Amino acid sequence: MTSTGFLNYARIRPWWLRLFILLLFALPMFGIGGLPVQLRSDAVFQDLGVWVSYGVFVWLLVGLAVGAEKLLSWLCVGVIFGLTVAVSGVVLRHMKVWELIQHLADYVSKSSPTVSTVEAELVKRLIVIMIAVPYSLLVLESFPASDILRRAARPNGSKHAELWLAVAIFLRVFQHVFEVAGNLLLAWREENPRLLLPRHQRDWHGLGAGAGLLRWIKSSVWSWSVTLLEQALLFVPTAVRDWSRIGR
Amino acid sequence: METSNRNTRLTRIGIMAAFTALSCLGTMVIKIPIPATTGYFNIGDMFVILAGLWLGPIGGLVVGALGPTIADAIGFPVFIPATFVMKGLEGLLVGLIAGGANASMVRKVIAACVGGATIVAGYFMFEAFIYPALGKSIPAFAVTDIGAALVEIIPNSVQAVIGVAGGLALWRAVKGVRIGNQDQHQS
Repeated sequence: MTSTGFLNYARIRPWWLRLFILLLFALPMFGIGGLPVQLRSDAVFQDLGVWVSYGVFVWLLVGLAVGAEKLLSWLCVGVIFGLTVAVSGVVLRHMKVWELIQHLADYVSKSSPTVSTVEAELVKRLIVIMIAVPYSLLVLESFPASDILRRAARPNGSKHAELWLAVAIFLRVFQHVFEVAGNLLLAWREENPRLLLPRHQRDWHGLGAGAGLLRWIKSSVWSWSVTLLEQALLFVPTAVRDWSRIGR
Repeated sequence: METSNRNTRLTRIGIMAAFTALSCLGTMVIKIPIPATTGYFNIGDMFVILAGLWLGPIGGLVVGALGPTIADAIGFPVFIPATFVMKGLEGLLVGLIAGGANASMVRKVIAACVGGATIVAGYFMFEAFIYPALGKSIPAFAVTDIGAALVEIIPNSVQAVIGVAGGLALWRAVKGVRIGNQDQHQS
């Protein structure tokens, strides 16, 4: 774990105490500790303000542990994920699909939310995802696979060496996929500077523009998924080959 | 022989971890909100179905129960119980029905469709009956009712169809790849 020296959660021993402390920071996200899980329609901005204050607290905890540069790159991933929620919600409204679903919800559900509550909810989700992504990545980094490997490789022979080895491989591969996804997001950003719109959209006109966009979305999602799958799986044989010697 | 079995087992664990992370990412990257239930539409099912088809019931169960649940923890914690149970069940059923690596294509398609149907039916059950019942004692769960659950059948069905089609398409891409003595482990 890259540390600025102020806070290094990976040094907290034993591991369950580290997990407990890190989980304590997340409790407000689950509605424990006074944060409004559901926004009040008469106090939307106050409630959003409370979420932002909590966000600053979490970003501070993360920033002190990993440094400003890493915090910013994690925030960047959080913003992209959060925007998929907020932007797709806005697009649905623009296409009138939102109203259609809303009318249907009003018809069949007594407690369906109003449109304004839904809009505020979208903003809240953006903020929550911007808080949760850096926090989750911090938790992931606070449990280095190398620590678990060391446990598996103890010379006196750990009783559960095989189990620890499996846990280490699971954790390391899981972390690797998130590293790959982060790099793929950066590659996507370079390839498509306007983020959500293709570079060659000017070539599409009239009715063909809609079809072109759909084709582009389909091929983008497909190629992104396959690349991610390939990059994720490529690492597995290497990890197994290098680590399977431990505890044998 | 023992070393080979051990490496096969570790490779399967590694692939399970990769699919868990992929299903988590697939759930996080594209999230289209559904206003009626405060839930969201995503493409994470592709990887859960792929895990069931390729890794078998245990792999499907682990990937389905862990990956999307971790994604729900980021911003949508109220859906954690439903996702843990239903996506885990989805992966398990797909793996059980799909059979081993040599099973027929028809069987794989049926398995993927059952997985998709499980999600639609399961989330309806949770949102229509279980969450309203839980909501009486824990207010955080009072986010849906039977009307909202009915509305969500539409986006959930679209999500299931995309998950089934995407899962089968990805399975075709990886189906020639064997993980050691795969059939023996998939029984």
